[in-house]
Amino acid sequence: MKLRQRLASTSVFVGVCLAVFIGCRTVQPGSDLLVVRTEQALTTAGATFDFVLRLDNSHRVFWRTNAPAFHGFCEWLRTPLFYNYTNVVPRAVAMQLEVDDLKLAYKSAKSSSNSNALFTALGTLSAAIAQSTSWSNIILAPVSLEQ
Amino acid sequence: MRQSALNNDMTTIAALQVALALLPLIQTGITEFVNWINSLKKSIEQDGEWTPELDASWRASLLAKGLDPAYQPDQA
Repeated sequence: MKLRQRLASTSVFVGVCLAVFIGCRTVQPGSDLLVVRTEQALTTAGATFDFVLRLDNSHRVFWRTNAPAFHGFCEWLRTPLFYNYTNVVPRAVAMQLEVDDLKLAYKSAKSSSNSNALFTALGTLSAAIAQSTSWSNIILAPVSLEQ
Repeated sequence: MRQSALNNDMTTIAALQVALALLPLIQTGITEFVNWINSLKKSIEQDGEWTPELDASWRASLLAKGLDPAYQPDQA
C-alpha cells in the first residue's frame, strides 16, 4: 500500500508540474495547431505501438497463452493491410501513414472536409494509442504492489 | 481548437503518468520503454510543424518498421 501510495502521489505531482509548464507553451507563429497536434500524435503512436509489439514479440507463446486478449490486440496491430493499393503494411503502420496523408492533404488545401477527415482519422489513431497504453499498464503491473 | 489542444496535452500527460507508474516495474523491453518516454517528451516539446524533410524521413523509417519481426503476424 505504501509503494502504491508513493507511486500515485509522485505521478500526480509530476503531472501537475507538467500541466503548469505545458500550459505556458505556445505554437510557433505560422504553424497550424491541428497539424502540430497531428504530428505530436504520430510521434507518440510510433513509439507506443513499438513498445507493445516488441513486448509481445519477446514472448509470443507466453502472451498468447496467458494474456490472449493482449496478444490478440497486438495481432490486430500487425494485421497486413493494403496501403496505396500496392504496398502491404501492418495496420499499426497503415494507420499512421493514412493520418499523415490526410495531414498533408489538409496542409495543401485547408478546407472543412479535409480538416474533418483529419480529425476523424486522428480520433481513430488516438484510440489505438490509448488502448496500447492501457494494455502496457495492465501487462506490466504486478499482481500485487504490496511490499 | 484550444480545448482540443488542451485535451491532447492532457492525454500525453496521462500517458506520462502511466509511464512513471510503470518505471519501477519494467523488467523487459527497457529500451523500448525509454524510447516511449522520449517520444512523449518530444511530443510535448514540439511547437512547430515538421519540415518536408523531417516528414519524409519519418515516413521512410515507418515503412521500414513494416519489415521488423515484431510487426509480423503469427505464422499460421
